[in-house]
Amino acid sequence: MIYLYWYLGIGAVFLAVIFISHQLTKSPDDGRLNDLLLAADPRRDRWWWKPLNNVIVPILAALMVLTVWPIAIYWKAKEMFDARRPKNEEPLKEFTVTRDHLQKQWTVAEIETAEVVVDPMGAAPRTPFGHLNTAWETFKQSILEGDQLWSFSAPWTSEWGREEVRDGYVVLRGETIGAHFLTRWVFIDKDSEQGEC
Amino acid sequence: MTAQIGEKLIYDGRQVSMCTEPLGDYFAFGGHHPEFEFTCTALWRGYVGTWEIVNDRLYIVGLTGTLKDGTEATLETVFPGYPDRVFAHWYSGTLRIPEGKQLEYVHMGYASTYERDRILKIEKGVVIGSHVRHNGDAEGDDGPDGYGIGAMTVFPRRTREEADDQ
Repeated sequence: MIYLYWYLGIGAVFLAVIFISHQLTKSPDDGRLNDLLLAADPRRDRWWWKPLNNVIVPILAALMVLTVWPIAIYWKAKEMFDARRPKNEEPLKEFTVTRDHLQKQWTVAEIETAEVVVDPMGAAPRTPFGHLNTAWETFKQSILEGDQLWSFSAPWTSEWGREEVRDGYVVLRGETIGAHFLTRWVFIDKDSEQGEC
Repeated sequence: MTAQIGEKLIYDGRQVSMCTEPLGDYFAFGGHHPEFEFTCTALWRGYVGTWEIVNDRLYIVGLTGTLKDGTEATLETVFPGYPDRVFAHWYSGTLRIPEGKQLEYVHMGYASTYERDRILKIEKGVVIGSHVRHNGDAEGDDGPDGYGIGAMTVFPRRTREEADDQ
């Protein structure tokens, strides 16, 4: 019986440490977190949610910590160990444009005329690429004398295995494909093509 | 990855959850991308945008989130000079709006399935079509309607000094 008392006693100390740590590190409740939680689950707005969330669940959680605290310690130690272990991740596959993707040659002036954004509510600047105009201006700085500008459309498979198509403009410098500027990035969702309209 | 909190969409006069993140394309295309704080595992992107469709055009009309330095992010944080409404001219693709009861909960991204998905096709910010995809019928009538997530871990917010140190 004495072992049980020791076990529960250590659990109680562990629970106290968790509680104090939580009180010291929790963020002030300024309403934004509640907005997020409400967005995550609209049931939080119902009458039974508060007693469930504020009383019953904390009591059950405390009982669980008291009884299975070694598992909590194991998970915390594993988390700390894993965080220190060097990760052997493969580098992400970088999107590239090839000559096969090139569609049509353009001049800067032609692109800037074709890509002016007009919104009747005035919710975008009436400039080439609208809100992305700064990014476009940055891209233009990579264009050198003698470079060609081409539009492209490139099929691509993402790291998650999703089929997609990326469109945009790319610099062609001699035979070399240079920097590109993305304008369209569409996932091919074959399931979405079905259904009733 | 934990199931993610959806974006909000005002559609046909009601607010629904949308399992698509059009602002992600804006950032990928080189738009101004402030550093958002990760407040919980159900919101890795760090913000929630509110979207609206007016006259078949997609607009973002609000944004909530917290920046790395602890300040509150708004729409104007991403689009300076446009505090109330921004036309999503950069977005092409589909918007997925889950409807009906949940068929299967998957604790990853937006992988959970619902009785129906309303799919809006968008081309350069303009709605060009829509359809409803039927995924099946839920058993029983007691489940909640609409998109929701099951669990998340909320991170303690770092102090401004801690953010500055990084």
